[in-house]
Amino acid sequence: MTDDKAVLQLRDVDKTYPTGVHALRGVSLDVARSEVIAIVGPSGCGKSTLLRCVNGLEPIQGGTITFDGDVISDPKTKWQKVRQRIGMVFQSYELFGHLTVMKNLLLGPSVVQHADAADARTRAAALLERVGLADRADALPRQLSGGQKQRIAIVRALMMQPEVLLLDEITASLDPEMVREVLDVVLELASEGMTMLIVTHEMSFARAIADRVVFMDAGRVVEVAEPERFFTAPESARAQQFLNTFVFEAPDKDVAAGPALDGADVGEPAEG
Amino acid sequence: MPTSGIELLFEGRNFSRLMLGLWVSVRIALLSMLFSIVLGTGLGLVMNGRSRVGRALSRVYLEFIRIMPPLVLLFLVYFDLTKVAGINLSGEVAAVVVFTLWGTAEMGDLVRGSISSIPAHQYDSARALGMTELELQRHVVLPQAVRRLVPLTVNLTTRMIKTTSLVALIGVVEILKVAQQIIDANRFEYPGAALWIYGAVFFIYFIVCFVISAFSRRLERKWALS
Repeated sequence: MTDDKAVLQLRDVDKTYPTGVHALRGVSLDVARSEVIAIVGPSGCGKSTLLRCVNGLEPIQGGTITFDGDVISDPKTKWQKVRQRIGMVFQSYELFGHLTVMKNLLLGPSVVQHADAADARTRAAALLERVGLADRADALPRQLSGGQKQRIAIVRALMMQPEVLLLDEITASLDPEMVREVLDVVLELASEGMTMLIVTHEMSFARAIADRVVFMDAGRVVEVAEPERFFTAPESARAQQFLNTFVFEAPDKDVAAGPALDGADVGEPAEG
Repeated sequence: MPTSGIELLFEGRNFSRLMLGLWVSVRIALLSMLFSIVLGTGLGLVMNGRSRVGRALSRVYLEFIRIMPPLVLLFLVYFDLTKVAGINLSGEVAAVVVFTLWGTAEMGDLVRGSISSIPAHQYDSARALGMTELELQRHVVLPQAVRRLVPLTVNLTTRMIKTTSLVALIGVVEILKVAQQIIDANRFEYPGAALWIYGAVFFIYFIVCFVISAFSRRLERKWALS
């Protein structure tokens, strides 16, 4: 099965860490241009590993990954080239601590792309404006809140003008009140047609943003479905069980049956 | 008949002799630091390196130097090297050799710590921007490692200056030895001199080391990464 529109194709991707952990067991996935895919699943299911394999931070032991028609999963891959087109943002919002916000944003374009400095600076200023941090251009990372740092980290990835963005649990280490400001930026990117693979524990966010939800467990893709369907009527027993972990039963109230997600896990209300 | 030693401190050339002694101490410390920084950087890179043999050997070296009292090393190099190998070093050269051996070990450990304290995600973030390994070392790892390293190096310098007082025991006339000479030469005229002269030495050490530590604290604050 080949999907001509797929910008990113994973075929039977297999990944074993040197420690012996078999993290991915034959994962296949097609990502269309402008598609937003939320990857959910229990801790250790391989979802973060999957993202790290897509831009070569982890080598794979089997299968192929194709990006824009080119196989990028063999040893000859020029990862430095690929990574400029597939951006990534991490859970631990690692800005470069010795550089101001502006210099964090300019480092990639100047060192890697040899971009015109004035042009890069203009783009950086415009992106900072968009994420509401225009006034923090000269701040050092240690002077920023977690939510601000993570928004800067997103902008830093965008500065390379990537075609695909990988977001690895980008709100998992944030205080709850800062989650929203970061997710709003991601929602805006989605509305502009950015292709994204999003690993997240924010179920209501996944439901709101994703075109498709990929549920993984024990290194395998167990279920791929439209979000409404996945969150209301998941097919696999494993997915039902997983979604139920987000539901809390109040002892003295009537309990809704099924995997409803009414704000049980996150600080933001689920719709509906 | 003067009874206290405060006059003795400023009598004749005593104070300037103390200052010259201080210069000998500082000269030994700074020369040793200079060599230690160069050699210790190399050692630190080996300690972080891929070679297991290199890592093991540098570990053994570090432990050996740390366990061995510096004074024993000084005696070994100054007295026994002459006896066994016929190498006759002046006291000051022997001192620089020993403090370089010691400083290289300490410096190596500081370099190792500064580099390995850069979190793995800094590397990932730089790679995810498309940087090569060389670019990420140059623009991300080294600038941050150096910012951590410089205050630690300055602290090591103050430790080095304080430890140089040991070289009085192999006959190098540095500040402490000068102090002893002044006290001994005036033992009968100024019986209470020891307190004043050693007190002065104490304050001179304190002022020098305090200024250096204050400088290092300022750098630390200015360059804090998180």
